[in-house]
Amino acid sequence: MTLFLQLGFQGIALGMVYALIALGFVIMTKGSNTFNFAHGEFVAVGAYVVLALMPHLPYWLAFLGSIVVTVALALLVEATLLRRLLDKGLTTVVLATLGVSIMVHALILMVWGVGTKGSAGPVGSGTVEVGGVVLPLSGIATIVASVIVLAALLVFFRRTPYGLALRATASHQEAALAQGIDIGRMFALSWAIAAVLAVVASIFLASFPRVVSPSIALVALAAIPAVVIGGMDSLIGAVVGGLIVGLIQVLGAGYLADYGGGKLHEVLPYVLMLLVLVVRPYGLFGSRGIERV
Amino acid sequence: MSDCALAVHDLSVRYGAAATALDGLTLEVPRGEIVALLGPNGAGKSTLMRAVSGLLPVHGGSLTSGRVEVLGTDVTRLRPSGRVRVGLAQALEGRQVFPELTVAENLAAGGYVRRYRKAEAREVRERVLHHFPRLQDLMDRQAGYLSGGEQQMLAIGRAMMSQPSVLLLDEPSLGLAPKIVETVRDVILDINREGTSILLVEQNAAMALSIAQHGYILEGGRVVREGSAAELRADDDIVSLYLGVAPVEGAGQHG
Ligand SMILES: Nc1ncnc2c1ncn2[C@@H]1O[C@H](COP(=O)(O)OP(=O)(O)O)[C@@H](O)[C@H]1O
Ligand SMILES: [Mg+2]
Repeated sequence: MTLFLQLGFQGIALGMVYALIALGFVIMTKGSNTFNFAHGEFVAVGAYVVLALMPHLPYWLAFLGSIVVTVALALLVEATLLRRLLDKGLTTVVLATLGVSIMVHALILMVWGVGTKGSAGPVGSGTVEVGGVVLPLSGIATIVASVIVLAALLVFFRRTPYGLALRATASHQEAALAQGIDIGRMFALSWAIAAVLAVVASIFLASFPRVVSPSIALVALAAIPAVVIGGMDSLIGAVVGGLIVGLIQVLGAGYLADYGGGKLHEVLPYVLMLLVLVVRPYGLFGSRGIERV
Repeated sequence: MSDCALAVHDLSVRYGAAATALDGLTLEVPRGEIVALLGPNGAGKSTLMRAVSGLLPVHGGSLTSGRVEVLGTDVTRLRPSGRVRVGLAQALEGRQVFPELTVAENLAAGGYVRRYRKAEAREVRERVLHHFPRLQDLMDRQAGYLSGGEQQMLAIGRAMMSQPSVLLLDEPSLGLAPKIVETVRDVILDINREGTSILLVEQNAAMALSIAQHGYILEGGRVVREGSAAELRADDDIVSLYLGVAPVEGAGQHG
């Protein structure tokens, strides 16, 4: 039972990280009609920049600095590539994001090398014991911070003019334009929000016991099954999908370590994703008729 | 020209490599008036609306010549958002509400460019809803679940939230029952009486000419006839060509 609770807690913490990344995917998909395969690399950039700034600045400034850099990168890609390619069709845009992904990955290798680095989390390796269950501080920080970010996002979408304008743009682009909503600006805004979420996710993805390494972008892409499971166009779906993926990965790693060379847990989210695609192609919370990539 | 709410001069539009959809079109909406734009399917009515509101690029269309002025301001080079800020609003053909958003949110989106403060937004909304009492009870309903008539009311109400000087309406009677068409017509008339100039696109010529002061008839992207609403109503050719379409009961009594 203790093991289960411990794993469950870790699973939820990891799931929240996936939820933040998955939300980024969904917000970009809804806000600008693109699936951005470079999003995983945005997460990696977020972690590397925090790590690079940490020795020189207070942690929160390093975090803010990384947000500035990552948002700038996202806006640059959005403005220079995507907005120009938008009328060339979805496939062209998605392939372009794949190209950007590979370029950013190469850039990271050039600047920081192929080796693994230290952790970039806001808290160290400490633990607390609650009723016999040992909980790492990094997990607690992950959950608390993610919940705060999710609440802020909810307020933004429900209560602010920009949040409303984004939802209107996602709902009906021409009608949004006709109301005087600048949809080019909304595309940029959705990418900026996704980039902020990527940086928040990155510091927890690189929290103890995990470290910063070039493969962090690949780990971040485990949010893709979360997006598909939850539904491409559903914000709630992204959160639920993220939690599902986090839980089955951690529980799978804990209980199925003796099977498949200890790698089975890495496959499970994709197995579930394919199952969902067959049974319920629009995901648990998605609406029908969403164009799939 | 500055005495006009809307002035369109020598406007030509093309969609991609296709043939010209509008060909040197000139048209005016004097301040405070309702002007009807009539014509068969494919005549270029919606294209004109898009050219005026700046939505041509969405449809792959572009201006090849011409100028659009709203309240004497040349808006030809402005983005749609800039045109709304100058005082132009549009209810698109086929209503086009935001289906997943509530009625209240649809209305709020219509006031987006004005950046209203809370109290101001409530005041404007009250004034708009005064024309659409039916929407009062539906504020928290998702717009996609409204009836066609309710959606049309919402589309017009949403456009009115930016407090426009010029309102473009693209076939507001499309697909509505005759009874509802009458309601829509009365609302348009009310809105106009409160000072908004209106360019009304219709296939239902009887309805449009019953409330307009002036009318243009469009065919193949060209104005083929223009005149006062009374003249057009009295013209035998027009009556047989257009007024036969879905006449409205009691048409003319408001004219
Ligand atoms: N998106 C488009 N792409 C290409 N041609 C179009 C497009 N929209 C309209 N057209 C063409 O432009 C002409 C005018 O259409 P439209 O303005 O919709 O007419 P109306 O609103 O009077 O029915 C038609 O010949 C139509 O086929
Ligand atoms: Mg039309």
